[in-house]
Amino acid sequence: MAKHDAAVGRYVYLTINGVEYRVYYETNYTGTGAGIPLICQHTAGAHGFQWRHVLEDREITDKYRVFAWDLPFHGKSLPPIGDAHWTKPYNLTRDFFLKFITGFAQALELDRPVFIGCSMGGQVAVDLCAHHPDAFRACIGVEASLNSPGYYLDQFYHPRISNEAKPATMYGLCAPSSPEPNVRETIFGYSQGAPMVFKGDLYYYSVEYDATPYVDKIDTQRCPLYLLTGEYDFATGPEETKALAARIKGSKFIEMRDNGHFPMSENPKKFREYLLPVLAEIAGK
Amino acid sequence: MAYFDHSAFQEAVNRDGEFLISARFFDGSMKLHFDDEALMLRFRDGKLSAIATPSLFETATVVIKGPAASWREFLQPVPRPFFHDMFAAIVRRGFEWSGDAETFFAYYGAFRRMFQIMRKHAVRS
Repeated sequence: MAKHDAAVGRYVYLTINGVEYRVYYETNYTGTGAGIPLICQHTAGAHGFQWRHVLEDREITDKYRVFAWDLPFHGKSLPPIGDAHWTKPYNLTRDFFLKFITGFAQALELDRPVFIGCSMGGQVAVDLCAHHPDAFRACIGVEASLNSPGYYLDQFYHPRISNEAKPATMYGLCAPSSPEPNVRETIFGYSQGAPMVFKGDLYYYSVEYDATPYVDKIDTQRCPLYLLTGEYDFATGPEETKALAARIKGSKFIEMRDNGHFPMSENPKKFREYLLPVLAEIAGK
Repeated sequence: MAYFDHSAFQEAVNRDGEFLISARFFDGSMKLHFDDEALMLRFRDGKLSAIATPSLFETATVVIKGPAASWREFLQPVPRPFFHDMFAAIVRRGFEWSGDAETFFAYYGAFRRMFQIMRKHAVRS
């Protein structure tokens, strides 16, 4: 009998702004009944592998129906056939990002899912909470901040810089106490990305995302917001997330010890210590 | 004042599998400033070929400057947040770098590993 992970992978077709995308996702649910949908967004330049430990965590999947996708252009979600993408720069726009996430939930007929995302996924958690509060049961932003300027950098997509450079810099975003095999897996994911994707994703993360104009209007009664940040994350440090949380009445800020910018993949055991109480609280609401 | 054991460090770097892979084809130098003290690391064909005190006007491919107290923090076995990585220390802890950006970025994996090894051979006061 072969050993398998419990999660299974599938492709779903989503049409966004008139273009059809074939989107890969993995899912797992070990409970009874419908389960609470939990949808997971990876970081810039990576793909859904980052959530594999959450997908295999029975304490989560007994209650939550977990989904983790690869955004188009990432992982196993190839670029769309019906668009001459090679003739224009790849940039992840806020318009596309919000439509993709809400479109995924609608296509799979998920009833008010819980959203969790890390880094650019953490920023979009704030965006979703602000602009689609009734579509989500709660949003969990991991490594989120009010804004994150200065990271849309040419060295992240330059013909003279190889795909080794990105993983090397991502290593430093991990905590020194995170298990080495998990850190190596995390940064390996960065070496798998198509050359233009990391910088292109940072267009949303660093250029388009800025919660300043609307942060004071976020209604956590309609959509609870949890903000978790690793103490070793130098891209978005705990102080930045704390400052964001201070602007959003009712939001909950949690600093994660012994974790960096990729908690779900660099130190999954430590991450679940922080995530499980949050998911239990959401399930109890 | 020595911040790390130079000879043990050099030997360890040159037999480290990860460093040797990530530093392949590298010819260049890195000058480290610890307050007013400076140290030159020279690399030939992907190996750390020499560690020496630089002459007054000697330039390097990449230069890194940091306060002595910050280097001590950086070289701790488990550094405090943002002393744990050179990019983090540059962004958050007042370290400065200058020189050839392409080399610094392209070979960051090698430099990162080298600093990790330096930490293991740090002289602790």
